[in-house]
Amino acid sequence: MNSFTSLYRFALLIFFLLVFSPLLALIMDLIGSLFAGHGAWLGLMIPTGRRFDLFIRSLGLAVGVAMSGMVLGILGAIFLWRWRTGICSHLRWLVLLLIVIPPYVHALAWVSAINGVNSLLNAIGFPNIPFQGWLGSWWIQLMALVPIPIGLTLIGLESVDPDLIEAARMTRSDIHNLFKVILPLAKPLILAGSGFVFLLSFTDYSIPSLFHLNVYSLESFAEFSASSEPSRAFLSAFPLLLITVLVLSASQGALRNTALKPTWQIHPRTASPVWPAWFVTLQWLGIALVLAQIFIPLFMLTITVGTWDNMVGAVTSARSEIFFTFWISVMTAILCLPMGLAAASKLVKRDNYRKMWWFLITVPLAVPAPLIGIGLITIWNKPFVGAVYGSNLMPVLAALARFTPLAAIVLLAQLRRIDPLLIDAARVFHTRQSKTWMQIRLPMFAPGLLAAGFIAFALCAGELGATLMVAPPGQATLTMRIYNYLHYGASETVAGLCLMMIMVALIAGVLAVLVLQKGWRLFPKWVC
Amino acid sequence: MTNGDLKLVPLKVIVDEPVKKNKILNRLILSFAIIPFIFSSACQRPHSERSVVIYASVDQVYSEPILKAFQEKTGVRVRAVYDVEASKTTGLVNRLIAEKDRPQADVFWSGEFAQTILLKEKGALASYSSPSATDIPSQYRDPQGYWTGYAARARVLIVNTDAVSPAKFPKSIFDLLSTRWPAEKIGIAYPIFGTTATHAAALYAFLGAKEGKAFFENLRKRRVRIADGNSMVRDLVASGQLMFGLTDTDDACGAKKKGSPVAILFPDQGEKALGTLIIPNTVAWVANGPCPKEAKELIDFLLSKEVEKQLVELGWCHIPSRQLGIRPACFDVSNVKAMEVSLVDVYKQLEVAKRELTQVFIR
Repeated sequence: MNSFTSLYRFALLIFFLLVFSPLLALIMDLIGSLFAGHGAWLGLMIPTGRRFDLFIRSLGLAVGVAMSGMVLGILGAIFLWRWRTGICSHLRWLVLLLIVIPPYVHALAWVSAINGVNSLLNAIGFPNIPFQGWLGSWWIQLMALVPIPIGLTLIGLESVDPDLIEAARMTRSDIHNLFKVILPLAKPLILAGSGFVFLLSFTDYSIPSLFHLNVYSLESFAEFSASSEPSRAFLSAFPLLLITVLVLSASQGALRNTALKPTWQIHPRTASPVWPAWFVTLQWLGIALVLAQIFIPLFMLTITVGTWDNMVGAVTSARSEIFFTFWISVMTAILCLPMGLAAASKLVKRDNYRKMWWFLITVPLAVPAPLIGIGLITIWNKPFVGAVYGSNLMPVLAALARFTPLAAIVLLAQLRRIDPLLIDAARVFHTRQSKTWMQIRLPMFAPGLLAAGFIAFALCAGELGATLMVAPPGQATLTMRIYNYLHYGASETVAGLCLMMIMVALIAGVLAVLVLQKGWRLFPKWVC
Repeated sequence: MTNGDLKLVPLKVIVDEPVKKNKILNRLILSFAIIPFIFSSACQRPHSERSVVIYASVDQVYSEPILKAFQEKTGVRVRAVYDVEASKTTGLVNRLIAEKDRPQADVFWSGEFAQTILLKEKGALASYSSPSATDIPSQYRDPQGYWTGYAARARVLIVNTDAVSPAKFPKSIFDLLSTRWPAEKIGIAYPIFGTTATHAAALYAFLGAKEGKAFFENLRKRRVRIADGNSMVRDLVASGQLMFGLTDTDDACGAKKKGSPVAILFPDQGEKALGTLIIPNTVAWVANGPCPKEAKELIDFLLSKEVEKQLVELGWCHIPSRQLGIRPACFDVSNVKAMEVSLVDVYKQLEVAKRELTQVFIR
């Protein structure tokens, strides 16, 4: 067994310890409850009657958001794909940063905007836009989550070998090649993006409840709130868990590996593609929605903050929360990558255990966040690991338990696109595995690592349910503070803190892009 | 390069380097394994410093200045975890239950009472009769001393004065069922979370479970707006999207302080009316908490008259448990009629009310 295999196995072991230990604690609690005579609780696993209606409604909403997210993601990414040189080639990645804007900020901004439009419509005798229920929930979830499919689709498009495109262009039109060559090659990342959107929409109750739409995940929370029994809430969440496993497995499971080149080895195409007018119109429509997604919340936040003094006041009052959030998010983004990569390497193998790995890796994604927190308390609140429990590391562990599987799936999408022949060739010619790693594998993995790290960073920064359960006394995250002020009605402070959150993400994103652009060229020289 | 070279190079790696690589690997693994302990130990407070841990579901904006005052006064460092409304009553209380065998917190300070009684039932609290609480009326205190209530809030109707003239102000929670107001223009929060759930349980206790459930079923049938929380009811009324709604005094008072066009009314104040629900804050000692001496100091401080007065001045509570010589800023509370129902009876109805109303409202 060579050293890198050992490292992979070690990372995989840590993955299972961190991701599954809270889940195992919940399962043990459940088994204890069942043996204590609560066998009837198993009925919660099957949604019937009212719960079945909620389940179907949730499924419909999540499918709607995921499908529209995929379409908008493709249109937006194809539009941004043409910006391959100059400052625009960097700026386009900022779209991914917008995932850190909390969904409720989108909700507040869009509701204010729609109210303004409704006033205008009323003034000229038209009826209101009915921005409630399914429509409002779908729109806000789409606007909040669309940076994920756009960003991942863009990474997928960037990784398509232009030689293949150029070869295809010799015989067929660009629009034909788009559907027959380019999108199929970028499919793993496109499907990963829409799979994530499905998952995040399916397990979210906060936005639907803002728009008076009851969904199944609210039922799980109501169950936990009423009973204070984690086992009951866990059983109630079982249908969510099952569908999540099926959808994420289906979105990635049937795909073949495809060839790619690292982004920085790909040169701009010789000539820009020529799209038919209808497709150009669709792209402009898509990009208009993306711009609205960006500017409406930013505009409303800026208006709400009002003055620079308010902004400074909000940020100054939350200094420690900002640093704490940044710390746990950076730690999560860094630590999830080796574990995610190890887990992804299991998923990418086409052996008899593949389905089992899929099941194991996707199950934790649908467990409600507070239950992950309860599981972590059960595991870590013990005398022999007492130094960890109550420390700043607990929110990192919570975020790792929740988001490392997502990082694994992003990295899987990247691994699928790597030509195994390149790795084999490197093994033959390189004398040291570290050299293969630094010069071949790492550059190949880089876009996926960057995307996975950033998604983990953003989701960790916005995490609330599990963090609240394990946050060390005396520390709080920016999201916890924002929710506190939101309840208090201090909208200018909330807006100031949200703008601050976007800035923190902006800095992290710019640093990541700099590493990608500069660091890789320097790194192998001194390492190898 | 020959074929022979191609085969020999990897063989050389396999034969010559494993020992050296295993050493490096072991160091890497060891380093990775001890990272958590390095970080965790670096984050601990010095042992000599006196500290106390409090879990607070009283809004941070109100509780933080009071805890800072305690810290300045006593030199005991207060490390707080604050709950958020968005966790929908699944946050700190469940954390305390999960930590019961090895508690991290010393004190629990709640913005209401039902969750505190639940903690007592779960065995997460210890008995402590604070000397600061001797003048607090007995109906606000647990007979065994597991918790002490004070500094109450109340359930109120918040009315948009641009949309409803004073002559037409609602007077009762039963006006929520009246067809005088369009259903889509009046609202309550989900009655399965937070203080609205406590209010529902109080109605179950006062009216009887059947009648209590019928009230909420009728609300549902009328299709009144169900908001995500009390603060949202406040915002919807303040912005004119609702004519009136049911919320807590602190939320309503916040809207008034911001200059929103709202009036705040205590419902059901007639002689034969049921009165409004009074919701005291509660303070409790966590069983087997790590710092018992500091915990008692903090409890004594929180239950003091000075702090209760400060909570009124800050706008968190409006119905003090004892004579403080001050008048709340937002409204006159001198003649508020409270719903005559014991806190324990309300708690006893809480789970059944939540279960039944989940079936009514989440569909």
